[in-house]
Amino acid sequence: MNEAESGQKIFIVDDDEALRDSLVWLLESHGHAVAAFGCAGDFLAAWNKDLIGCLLLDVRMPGMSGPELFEELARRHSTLPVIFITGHGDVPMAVAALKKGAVDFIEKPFAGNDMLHIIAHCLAREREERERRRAGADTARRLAQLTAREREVLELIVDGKLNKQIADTLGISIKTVEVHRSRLMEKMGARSLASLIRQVMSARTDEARG
Amino acid sequence: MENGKTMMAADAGGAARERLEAVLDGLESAVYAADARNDEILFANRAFRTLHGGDTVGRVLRDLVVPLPERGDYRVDPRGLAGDDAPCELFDGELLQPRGGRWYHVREQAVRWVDGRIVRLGIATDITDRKKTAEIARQQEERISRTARLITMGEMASMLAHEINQPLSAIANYCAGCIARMQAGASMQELLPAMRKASEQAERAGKIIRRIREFVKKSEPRRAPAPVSAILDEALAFAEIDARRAGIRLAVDVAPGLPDVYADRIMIEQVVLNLVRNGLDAMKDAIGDERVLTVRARACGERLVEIAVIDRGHGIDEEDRERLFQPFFTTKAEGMGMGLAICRSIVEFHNGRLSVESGPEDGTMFAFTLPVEGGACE
Repeated sequence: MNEAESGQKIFIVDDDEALRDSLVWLLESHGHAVAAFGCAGDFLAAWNKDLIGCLLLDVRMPGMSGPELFEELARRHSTLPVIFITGHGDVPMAVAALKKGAVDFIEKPFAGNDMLHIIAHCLAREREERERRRAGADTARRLAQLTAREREVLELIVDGKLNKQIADTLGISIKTVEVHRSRLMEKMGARSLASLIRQVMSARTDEARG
Repeated sequence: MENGKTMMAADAGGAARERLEAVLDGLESAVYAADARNDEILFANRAFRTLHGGDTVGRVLRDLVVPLPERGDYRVDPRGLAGDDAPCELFDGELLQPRGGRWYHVREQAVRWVDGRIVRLGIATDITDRKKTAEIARQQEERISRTARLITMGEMASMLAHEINQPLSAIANYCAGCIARMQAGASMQELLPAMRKASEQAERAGKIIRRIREFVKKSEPRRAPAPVSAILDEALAFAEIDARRAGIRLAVDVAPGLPDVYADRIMIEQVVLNLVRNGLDAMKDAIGDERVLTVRARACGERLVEIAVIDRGHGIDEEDRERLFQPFFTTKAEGMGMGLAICRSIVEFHNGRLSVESGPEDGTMFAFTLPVEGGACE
């Protein structure tokens, strides 16, 4: 999938004009949508929480440095993954950034293919992550539409109970369980029992993650 | 009281002269007045008299403790001056008294004496101590600038790495982008701007290299005969501070009667200092008796002197040893990895060789050779 379809964009923040321009050229040559900024402030001014794609961030910049911008974005709960661009001697700093949640770093001068791989990998992960978040939000919305009884039935289905056992537990007829079951499948948008269980389990994992 | 007052009034001129003499005698500088034509001393203050062991009035200004300007030192010959020419300055400068080795600041002026004669009125101040202080300050300054040169090399390397990275990365990006587009069948017109920009970046990289070359030229080595012991003394004076801090003893072992080497002293001092500091770093974890770092100098045939820095640290394994002299190779957390590469360049510039092997005890020995004076095989 290319970014034109996915809406993903690669944002570049680097103070060196030539480096910035050449990155734009290279990434556009590979079909990426790119937006470049000469300093951290310009990017922050353009930033909003709905930006999708990834950010290539130079470590050494006058004014607000790369790591400082990174921290500011974390404070703003940005979900945009960050790849640091480092020069010689910045590696310890890059490692520290990785520990704080940066996705990766590329060292100057780059081996072009390595960089493209890192970016492609980063974009794919961002898509998955976003999909997971979207699915999680979707499941939560659907769960909220269930009636109290349907939720009880769902819990028991997820626990692996058969219709007969569910009917006994809840003191209702098997027929009624079947009605609840088909309604909640419909409300959850699940085509099979397996996908229903997967959906609920993943929503629970998300909840546990906070 | 009444009586004294009368006397003072009666002899006001004499009292004024006495006061003036009291002031002049109070000076630490030697003050004298001498006839400009025949050098006969007409007046000398106490400091001048003390220096010359008694009254000097009536003697001539010759063979004195206080050094005086020679005829040639004068701006105008005082002997030829007429009454109207005075007052005028005759001399102002620093003179060395060759016998005592003391320095004086001497000023002489031609003035009209009380009887109308032209005299040389001089004041000589002993500035030996002040000069010593200035000399120490100068030496310190030289040390600082030397250290600065050492720092500059490291910083230079770091800056070079960073600065040259920028255009190189840009060139790589433009080219990689062009390749991708050419493979996708792009037109020449589409590629042209990026190729232009890439070549501009190549020029930018060239400019950086030129700047470095100019810097290097400025600090080009100046080779001259130099005693090995003096080189080691200088370098170790710096290293001593680090060694003391690390609780490591520096043992210096210089073979007697070594010939002078033909070298840029400051550069070789840097090499020694660098190797010693590496050795100290390697010995951080050494214990007790092992905390000794040896610097050894000995003849190596007739034409070479070998200087070795022998530590008793953790040693270096085979694999690392091969990469040791490569730029940017480092085992230290904060190291730039330029030290040994620079050391080797300096030594090789001197037609010497820098090598590494295991130390006689455990640890590592770095040794380099330098040609002796006159033995250089260019």
